Amino acid sequence: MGLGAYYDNYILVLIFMLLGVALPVVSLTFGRFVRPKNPYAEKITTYESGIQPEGDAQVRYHVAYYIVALEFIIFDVETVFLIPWAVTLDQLGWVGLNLMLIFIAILALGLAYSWKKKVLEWN
Amino acid sequence: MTGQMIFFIIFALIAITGAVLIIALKRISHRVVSMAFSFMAVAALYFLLGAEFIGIIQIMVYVGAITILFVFGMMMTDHRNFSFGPDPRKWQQALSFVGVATLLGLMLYGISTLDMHESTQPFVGSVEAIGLELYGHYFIAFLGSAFLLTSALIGAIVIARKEAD
Repeated sequence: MGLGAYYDNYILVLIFMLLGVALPVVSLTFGRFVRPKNPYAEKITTYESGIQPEGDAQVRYHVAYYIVALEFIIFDVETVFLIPWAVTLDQLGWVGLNLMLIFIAILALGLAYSWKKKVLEWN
Repeated sequence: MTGQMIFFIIFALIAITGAVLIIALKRISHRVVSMAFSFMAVAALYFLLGAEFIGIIQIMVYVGAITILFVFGMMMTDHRNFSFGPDPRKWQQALSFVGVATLLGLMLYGISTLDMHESTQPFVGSVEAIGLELYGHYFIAFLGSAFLLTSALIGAIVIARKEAD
């Protein structure tokens, strides 16, 4: 497949990207002309499930969330490594299988550590 | 000018503008958004090069995960009472200029000595080719990345536990 045909495939992606951008822009602009505009203090306050909004929206969260996010990234990257491995496994053979098992074992070490240190528990 | 060139310039401009705005914008939440834009433009450049897999990974890991990690970091820090004003130390500015200039020189040298011969067969980077190289030729680097990821996790746990106590 030449690069020209490759780029032709992405014209469809471009069309969908433009559609995705156009949808909110067009609907919000159209809505601006159609909807009545009558703001008052109660209406423009922040919506907080129907109760009076309290404090600030930008409160500080506990650091435990960060560990969960980091753990997510590490296993996200592991998935990324698994894709080319799974595609070529028939050519890599047993060596490839063992290689990936070692990789997962090293990553599992980190998970085991976080499990043992109870950072994944909430209280 | 070919269509490829036009799209390259568009995406390169988005990437550079996003990167500049990361350090130029005042609010940290705006900086994170501009970082996501920059990452997306870089992903588009990968697609332009025919490296589809790398482009998808860029979106998945960088836009989807790294940016979210920055948002998490933002949620956990007292970023509004912390100013990012420039440090008015002259020698620091001079040193950082020397560092950036050296990096630019090295990169220009690397690019100019690169053997970019015209390929007769256009190559579209496939997952299979990456897999064979990564798990054949470069398996030590692959296992090294496992150690890197694990040490990052363990390091973060050690720091976070100290903070939480």
